[in-house]
Amino acid sequence: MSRNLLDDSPAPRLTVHVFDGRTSVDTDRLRELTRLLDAVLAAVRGALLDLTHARAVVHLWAMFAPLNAPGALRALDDAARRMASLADLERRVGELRAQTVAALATYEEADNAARAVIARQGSLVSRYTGFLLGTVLPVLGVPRWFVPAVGGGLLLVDSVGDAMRDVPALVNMQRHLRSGAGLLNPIVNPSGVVSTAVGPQRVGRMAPVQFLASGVLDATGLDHFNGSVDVWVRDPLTQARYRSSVGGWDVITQTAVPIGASVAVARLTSVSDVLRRVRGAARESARTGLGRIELVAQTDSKGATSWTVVIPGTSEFVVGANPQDLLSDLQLMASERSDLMLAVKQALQMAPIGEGDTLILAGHSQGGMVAAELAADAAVNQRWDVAGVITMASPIGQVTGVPADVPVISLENVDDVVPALDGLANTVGGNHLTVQFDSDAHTALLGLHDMRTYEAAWAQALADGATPRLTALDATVRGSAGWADPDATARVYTFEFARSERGQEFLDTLLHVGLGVR
Amino acid sequence: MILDASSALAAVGAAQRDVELALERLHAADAATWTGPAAAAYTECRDAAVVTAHAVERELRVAREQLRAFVAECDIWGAVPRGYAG
Repeated sequence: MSRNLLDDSPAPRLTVHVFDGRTSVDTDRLRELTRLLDAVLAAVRGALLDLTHARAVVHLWAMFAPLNAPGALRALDDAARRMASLADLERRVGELRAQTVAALATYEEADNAARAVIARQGSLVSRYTGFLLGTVLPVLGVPRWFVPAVGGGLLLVDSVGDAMRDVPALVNMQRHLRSGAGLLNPIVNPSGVVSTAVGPQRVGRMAPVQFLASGVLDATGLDHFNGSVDVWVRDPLTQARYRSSVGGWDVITQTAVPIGASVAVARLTSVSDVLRRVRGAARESARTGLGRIELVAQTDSKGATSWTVVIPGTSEFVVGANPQDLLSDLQLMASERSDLMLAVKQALQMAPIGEGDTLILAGHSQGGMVAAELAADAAVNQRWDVAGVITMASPIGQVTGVPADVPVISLENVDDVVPALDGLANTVGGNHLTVQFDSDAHTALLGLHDMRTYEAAWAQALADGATPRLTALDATVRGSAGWADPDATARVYTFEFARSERGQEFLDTLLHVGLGVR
Repeated sequence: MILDASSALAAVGAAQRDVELALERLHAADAATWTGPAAAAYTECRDAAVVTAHAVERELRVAREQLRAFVAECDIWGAVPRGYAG
């Protein structure tokens, strides 16, 4: 019998911090409030002492004022009640102060956690890039002098980071990434211009991580082989392929996928269901070695159909036939065109999605980057109603242009370096919400980048009601997708894809130098 | 000082000033730019404290009037002269 690790664990708890662009706190203001409340307490205690004094005097002189004795007695009683009122006030203010101090501690802890993660992120980014440069470039025949030059630059970047430990981490990281980019610029890109999905961009206008990714792609020429993929859906009975072929960015053949190519599945009821499907798609992609996304068409009792696009993350950690690989990671990070985006968009074209149908986009890691890019694509928004984007562990800070009214929920484990690789804060405000969580127990049990860690975090963030914004956005997505309808039916279209033709030339080159996989 | 009946009035006056001071600081201690659920709870608690402080202020005003009559009668009956224990 299979056992669920989560069920066996001693109920690990998560701490969820929410950065939604609406909840904000100024810790200096909280300290000021604490000082003010201390002063209130001092004043109340002073008043209590004064009343005690007055009461004692009235007691002493009561026998010398027979006419006003009853009034004096009432005054004593009233004074006693007043003291009770003041004591009540003191109690309330004491509670107020305790709450404020607790809030201050919570916010400072969250702030420190975020700073620690960001501080680690800078070092990891440079080491990750160093690893790529040190292993990939010599094999591709890049001159030997280049690697130590870059490596030296990265070491300098790290040491600058160490020396600046007391500087606010975000500023620190951005500064030394920028200095790293400055060092690399004349070496890897003397022209200072890189090609991106939105046309040529001057590197000076790009964020450092995006520039580093562009620089690596330009220097290696890895991005010259894009634009050729095969995308298909297998008929569940005959295994015949409904296929689309793209070569040199031009569509060569395209076959519409009939409804018969789909398989009936259990209807989706929540984001958790979608996250589980993402995990299942990743497992299948790893098994087949092919790129894979799933489109779940859910039709409610009124006939309205919503489409949930399920996009798993990187499955090839070298460069291969499956475009869900490291090359696509670099291209997505650099906002450049990629075979992966080409394949996913081609799948959307082939599927029988009606004009104006609702789209929910969900992905893990690289899949979340693809989901965000799709949501930012004007053509996609023009043709369909993008009603929700769910990303897990995805660096999407570089993605701009997702309409503010489209609900975007980004889950990030503060110990997971992947969502921080963009070196940029996610866009917040409007309907865009980033939920960061800290879970030592889940991370130790399942892994910091593991989808199950993210699934558990999602479930707990919702159950705890981490923020009304999260609850509201979750309800909005479920409502738009029609997942609440118990009479809805669901069918899944499984799209597979691989690089082809011109891509084959590229794959042969990689294979020749010992980097590629079939 | 405790032997002087009028010192009760002075003590209540001092208590009134303390409560006014507390109210002033409570008014200054608004959440301002702090927003979110914790800030809402803070504001609720502070507002309750302000209401209580206002009630105490009103009761102290009444007490002061009663004590004024009490002190006047003490003076009529020739008690220890004002400032006796000064």
